[in-house]
Amino acid sequence: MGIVRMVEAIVARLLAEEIKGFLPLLSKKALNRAVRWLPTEVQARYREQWTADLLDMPGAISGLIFSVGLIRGAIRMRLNEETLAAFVKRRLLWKAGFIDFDVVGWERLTEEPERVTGTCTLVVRRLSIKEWLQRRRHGKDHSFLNPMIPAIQRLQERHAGEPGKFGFEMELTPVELNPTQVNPDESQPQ
Amino acid sequence: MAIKEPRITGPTLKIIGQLLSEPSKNLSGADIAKATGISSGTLYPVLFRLEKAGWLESEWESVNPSEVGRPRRRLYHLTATGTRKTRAVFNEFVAQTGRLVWES
Repeated sequence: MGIVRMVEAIVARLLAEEIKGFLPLLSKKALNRAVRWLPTEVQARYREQWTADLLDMPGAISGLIFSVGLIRGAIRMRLNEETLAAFVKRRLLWKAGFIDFDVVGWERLTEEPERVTGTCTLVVRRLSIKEWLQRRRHGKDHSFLNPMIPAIQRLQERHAGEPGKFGFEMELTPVELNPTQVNPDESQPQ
Repeated sequence: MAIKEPRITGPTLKIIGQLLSEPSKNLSGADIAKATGISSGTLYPVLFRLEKAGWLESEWESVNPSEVGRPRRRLYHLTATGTRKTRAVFNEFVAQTGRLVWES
């Protein structure tokens, strides 16, 4: 009986240690999630401010509560910037695929036999119904941008409804870099 | 364009009360959260609104992050306008409730 209790105590302690080790990571993830809700121009400021404030929290659990709360706070701050109707409209447009990007430029930085690096310039914008239908039907060949898709999706989500221009530094193989793919799209930004 | 006056809610009163109680001290969001018990989800939107309305100002702590090994804190203090308006709000609040909630 005594041994069972001892084993239980050891296992419980190990589990507690394990969970405690994960809490700062979860807090950081929640903080990053919260920052992404904010308008782009204030993200850097709040990332630094909230990271400093998180470090001032007395423990790992209070830190997690603090950073999870930040998500709610960030959404409220975002809603303070635009009306609820505009926010819902922007989210719905993005979810429905009305916010897309065009590749408008490619600048080679280095070129070697095996790889090419460069800056790809994208414009995130809202599609017209006609364009949306065309892209639904035919799709868009941007397979060379695949490695950047998560970053592009984050940009689309953040800038939905607001045009924006972004440069990505990318590495491509010469085969991937087909000049026809990087020419400006037929449909220019509005 | 006219600056929109912030809504005065319970947490807003607590936050500005805290800043008024220590006018010489600049407080970080964590300091205010600990002193008032307001959750981060409520605290930062209020600070954001008050800052936009010009009641508060914030500035980075004057330390070098690489020297202290942590990011800089952002410290808040009431502006002259904020102090004046805050006192007016508290006076109005006292007049309405008959209970003294702040005194210089």
